[in-house]
This record gives sequence, structure tokens and C-alpha cells, in this order.
Amino acid sequence: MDVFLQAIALMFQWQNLAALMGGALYGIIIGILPGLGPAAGMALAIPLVSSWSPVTALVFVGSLYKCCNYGGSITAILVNTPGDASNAATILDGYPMCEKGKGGVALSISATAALVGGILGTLCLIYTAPLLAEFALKFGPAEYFLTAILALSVIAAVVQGATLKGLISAGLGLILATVGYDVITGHLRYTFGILILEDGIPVIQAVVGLFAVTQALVLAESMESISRIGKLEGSSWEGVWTYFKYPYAVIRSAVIGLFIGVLPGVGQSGAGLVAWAEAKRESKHPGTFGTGDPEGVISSETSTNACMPGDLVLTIALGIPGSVAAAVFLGIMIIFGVIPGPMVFAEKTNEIYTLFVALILSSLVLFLVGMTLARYLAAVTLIRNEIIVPIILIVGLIGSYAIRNMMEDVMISLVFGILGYVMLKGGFTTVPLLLGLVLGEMVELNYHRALLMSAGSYSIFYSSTVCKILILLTIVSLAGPYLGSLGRRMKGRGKLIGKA
Amino acid sequence: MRAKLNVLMAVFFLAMTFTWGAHAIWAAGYPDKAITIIVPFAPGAGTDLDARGIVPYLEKYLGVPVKIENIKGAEGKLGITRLWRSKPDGYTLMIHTVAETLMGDIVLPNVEYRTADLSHIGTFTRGNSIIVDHTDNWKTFPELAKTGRERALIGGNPGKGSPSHFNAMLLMKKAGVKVNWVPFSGAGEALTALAGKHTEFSIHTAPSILSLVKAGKIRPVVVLSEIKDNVFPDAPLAKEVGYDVEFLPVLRGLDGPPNMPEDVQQVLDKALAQAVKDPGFVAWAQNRMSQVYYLNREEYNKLIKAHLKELQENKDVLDAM
Repeated sequence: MDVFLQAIALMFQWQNLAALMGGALYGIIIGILPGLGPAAGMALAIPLVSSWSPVTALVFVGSLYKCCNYGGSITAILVNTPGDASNAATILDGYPMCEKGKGGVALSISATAALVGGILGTLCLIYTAPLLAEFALKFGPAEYFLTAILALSVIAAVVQGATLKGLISAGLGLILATVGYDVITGHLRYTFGILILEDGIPVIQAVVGLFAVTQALVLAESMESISRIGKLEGSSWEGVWTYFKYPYAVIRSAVIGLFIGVLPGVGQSGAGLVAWAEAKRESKHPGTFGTGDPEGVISSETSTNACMPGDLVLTIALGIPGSVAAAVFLGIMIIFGVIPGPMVFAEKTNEIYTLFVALILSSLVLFLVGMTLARYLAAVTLIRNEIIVPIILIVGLIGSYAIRNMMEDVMISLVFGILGYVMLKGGFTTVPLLLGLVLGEMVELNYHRALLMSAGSYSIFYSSTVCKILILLTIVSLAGPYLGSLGRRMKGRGKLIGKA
Repeated sequence: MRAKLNVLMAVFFLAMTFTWGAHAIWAAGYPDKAITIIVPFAPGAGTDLDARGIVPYLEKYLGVPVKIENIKGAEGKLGITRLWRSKPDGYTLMIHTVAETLMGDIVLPNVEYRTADLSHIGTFTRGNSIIVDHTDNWKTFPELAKTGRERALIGGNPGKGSPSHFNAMLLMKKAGVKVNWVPFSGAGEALTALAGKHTEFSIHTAPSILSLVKAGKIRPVVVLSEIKDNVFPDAPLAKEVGYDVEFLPVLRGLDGPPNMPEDVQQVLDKALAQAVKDPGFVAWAQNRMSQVYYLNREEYNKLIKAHLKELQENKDVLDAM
């Protein structure tokens, strides 16, 4: 405990507090700008921090890293444009809440999720990092394949009510995920000689198209504002109260987020989507998901916020970066002589524990900033459509362009925008498509890898204990809805018999 | 109103982030405006971090802002193609992993550029491919090779067609070891699989394995290089364990589009020569555990030719990738 007291004392030196605030602000702004995620944000900060002391630099970068996601949530909720792929799921219910005039409430839910998810995730990082790291090492390609299948099984819940259209959407997503250079066989697939497609369909650009561009088209059809009722409803504190009304959803989403964060290469976009779909399945009123159900925002936001500290588990415990952003963070740690690994807690006590304190405090900063700004930011949803539509389009497309400075990325966003519009008018939901796009590569690559390892034997998919557990969970996940209704029917019959 | 303000702020910040560190000093002739350096990898990749180390010192000696543009994708092809198509005026350059780009010409499909025709300025850092295995497995390379002659080993690599992959294949061929190669997307995934004993050995450069080695999870068994690794000086070289093979070093080089004017190349050559000797850069490289390895224009061009010859001689290994 005294290491923490020491770290807190360090934290409250003026330069570290300034770094915390500066990092938070910088992170929020980077997050708001579509296309610039935490990885680019931290890389841009390297020249700035390189002359600072290690503690101050890590506080700044850690705070920046933590706060990026919140910035992206702001634009996701208000104008349907995610700042980064991780905010995709927040759109699903956050934006419809804005349409109902509850933009401020959605933003304060997101701020509360940043606080709770961030702190839960960070506490797990602090106290269970070595354990979680050992757990993550049990996952080889076969286990990754089964994890991705388990994650895909939530599609079954998402498409309930419109199964055929949902499955078509999911299939389209999976097909789109195969586009590009196959890193295992070295072949090009469905690229039609177009160079940019060799890198596959980029998720952020697709999301900007599916949501921002599509929504701009929809908004352009009417002369209203995003908030259909033309005014704002609910206070910021309503968001906080609402948040704590769903403790079960919070815990479940935090666990999903942490789990996905700990596994390298899955990513925050998957975390939000899977948590959202899982919440929909568990819900007693799945029909309201996607129409502005606060529980949807709670799930996706808590999950992505818990995912980020999860991402750091392997990075700090074993020096394995779990994502591009974590790789930049690892690079910065090494430059400052903080070599991750089991020894780092003893060797660089001050740096590491101050970083942990900074992660917790930056969650708190986010909460305060979010609660203060929610009402004012929500006013964006009152702007008339003829003004907000061009702004959404410009911000979204600049974001697409800024990722790699390539005009082709803008084209991808526009194509997906039209696709999204057609799907919307045809009554298709885009969530399964997104899940397919995000998880498709993970399914395919790891299937291929596992078979390379086992020299073609399928036994690798069920021989380990982790595999067996994952298979069992998938079966439960798929059969769950039927078992549930069967149970109710049995109960109902029991009552009838009782009456007779 | 507030929304407009937000957007204004956003645009302003966007502009700011892209001109970070802009302190233009106007000089006669080249260079007289900001230079863009393409890095064909994501931020945080080994090449990217080395590039971010040298760039402030290139700025210092060129007297103009130098900014990095990460254009990752399609195994580096997107960024390299962008350089290939850009004007050879010295304002668009690239920092890359030399052998990887060279091999890309051969192993990647549908490549429009020829790496050998780029304007080669110089190299500044190097890494060495190191074969690592789990500490519960073989202690030395000969033991590993002995098992590998009896049955096929499961070998991970951080990317199909990388120089490390090529180097390991050269050695395994010489040692008569059979390998089922499993390509991963990056060092992170490959290392997780190795540390969790899903693969039996893997091949990496020093900075990415240091933490796991210190944690006692994995062990470097042989360095695929003719010089000792700066981070693991105790790890034996391939020739010390009985295999004298010529490997491709993992060099970070500075290149321009084909046919850059001679005077531009000379200016860049001189600036790079000064930058690599700057104490600030030397200290940075040491912290990052990159080995400073400077080759001037002449030496670098020679090395490219030698690499090409080596790759042609081992066409069979490349084909087997």
C-alpha cells in the first residue's frame, strides 16, 4: 500500500498534475477528431514528452491513451460519427437517444462509464495483471478461433426478429473481411487490381461511411434537427442514476471488455460490439436496443473503457503489445527505460504505480469534464439539419482521409455510406455486418494458423481445456434463447397442470 | 454556434498536429520547405520508433521541419508505392526496413515498384534476427536442431516474407531442420503464441523480446548475424554454433523516389551523417536499444546490390515462403 501512497504523492507534484490534465485534454481532442486514434495521438506526442522525466511523460501519455476513447464517444453519440473504431457500438443506442432529445443523458452515461469501466479495468490491471497474463498465454490460434466464433454467436441475438436479413448482413460482413492480402497464403483476394483494397476493408473508414455518411443522408431528407422533439430532455445526473440502475450490465460489460482487451489483436471495436449484443440478448426487452436504450450505451461504453486497461495487461506484465496503441505505449515506456515484465514493479516502482494512479485519476477527470460539458455539447443536436449535415459529412470524411492521407479512404467511406443507406431503407441492420467485418479476419486467420500448427489435424480445436470451455460457452450462447423459452413454456404448463 | 466553434477547434487542432514541431528556417536551395518522411508501418512498429528517433536530428541538420507520415497496409506496399509515385524533389522520402522492402519486390504479388531503383541515402540503425524458444524447451540451438531433424518443429514468425523469416529459413535449411511455419500478424501475436507454448520457436529482433527474456519465459538461442547483438551480447552467433550462413541484417534506411537529383542526395547524405553522430540521437538509440549502424550513400548502394545477389542466390528459399 505504501507504494501507492508514494505514487499519489508523486502524482500531486505540479508537473504531474499538469501532465494529467494536459494529457486528458489532448486525448479527448484527438479522440473527437475522427481518424486520429490513441496510437497516432501518442506517436505525435513523442517529440513533446521526450525531454520530460519518465514519471511525468508516462502520466501524460497514459492519460492521453485513457481519454481518447471518450472523445470518440462524444462525436459517436452526438453526430453519429465515431472518433475511432472502438466507438462504433456506442452509436447504436447513443445516437437514437439524441434523437429523443436525450443527448445530454447519453453523454453523461458515457462519462460515468469512463469512470466505472476505467476504474474496474485499472484495478484488475493493478491487482491481477500477472494472473491475467498467464491466462492470456493459454490462448493459441485454436483458442482465438473459438473465441471469435463465440463472439460471432451473439449475432444470433442481434438478428432476432429479422433473422434472414440479419444473416445476409452478417454474411456480407464476413465476405468483406476476406478482401485483401492474405497474410498466410500470400495471395490477393477480391482486390480487383485496386491497391488500397490489398490492405483489406479498413474498419474505421467503413464505420464512418455506415454511420456518419448514412445518417447525413437520412438527416438531409427532413428539415428538422437531430433531436426530433427540438429540445433537450433530462439532466446530466439522470445519466448517472440510469447508469447505476443496471449493475448487472455494468459488471458483465466490464468483464467482456477486460477479457477482449487482455487478448492481443482483438481490439476495442470488438469489445463494444460484443458487449452491446450480449446486453441485448440478456435483456428482457431486446426490441428497444438500437432505438435509444440507455442500457445499450452503458454496455458498449463500459466495455470499451475496461478494454483499454486490459490492453495494457500483457504490455506491462510481459512486454507484449496487444494493439497498435499499446505498441506505441510500449515503445514510449522503453525509451524512458521502463522495461515491462514481472520485474518492472520492483525496478520502476514509482513510474509504474504513478501510471496506475494516473489511469484512475484520468477516469475521474473524464467524468468531471464529461458531466460539465454534457449539457452544452448536447446542444449540437438542436442545430438545424441543413447546417449540421454538411458539418457531419466534412468532419467524417476529413477523418477518413486523415488516417493515411489517402483519397481512396474517402471513397471507401462514401461507398459504405451508400451501402448503409440502401440497407437502412431495405430494413437491414448494419450491426451484424460490422461484427462480421471486425471478427471475420480473426476467425479465418486463426483457423488457418491452427491447422498449420497441427499439420491439418482438427483435434487441435478441441484438445485443450480452454477450447472445451469455449465450445461449451458457444453452445450455451446459441441454444440459450431456445432453452429460455422452453423453460418458460414448461413453467407455464406446470401452472396449468396445477390449476387443473 | 458551439458546434461551429467545435469544428473550428477541430480543424485548428488537425492543422496543429500535422505541423508539430514546425520551426521553419528558410535557406537558399534545397531544402526550403517541410519534408515528409513516409513510414510504411503503423505507429509503434520498430521501424516507426527508429524513424521517430532520427527525425528530430534530421530536422536539426536540414534546418526544415521533417514530419512522419505512417502509411501502413498491404505489407508496406501502400507506403512504398506512394513514395515510388511521388516527385523526386527530395520533399518526400521514406524510412523503412531495407531487406523487407527488397524482399517485397519478390515475394509480394502485384508490385509496381523496384526497390533497387530507389535513391538510397543511407542507413542509421540495425537490429538482428534472433531465434528464441521457450525456456522449458531446448537450451541451445544444436539441441533444437537435433529435434528438428527428427520431426517438424512448429515455428512462428511475426510476418510472412519478413527478413527474419528469410534468415531463419536459411539457417534451418543449412541445419536440415524441418519447420511448419505459422505466420502471425506482428511480433505481439507471435510472442504470445511462443510464451504460451503454442509454437516451439519464433524469430524476432531484440527490443520486442527483452521483457519476455527477463521474465524467464523465452530464451534467445542463436543470433542470425555476423556481429554480436547489442542487447543480448551473450547469445551465440550462428557461426559460433557451427552454421556459417550469410544473413540479411534488419537495417533501417532512408530512401527517396528514383532519380533524385545528385545535389539533393548529397544534402541528405550529409545531414544523415551528422544526425547519426549527434549525441542526442546516440542516447536515444541506446535507450530504445537500437544499434546505431550508419552506412553512407556509397556503402548503402553497395549493400543493396549485395542483398539482391543474396536474394537471387536463395530463390528457392523465397519460393518456399
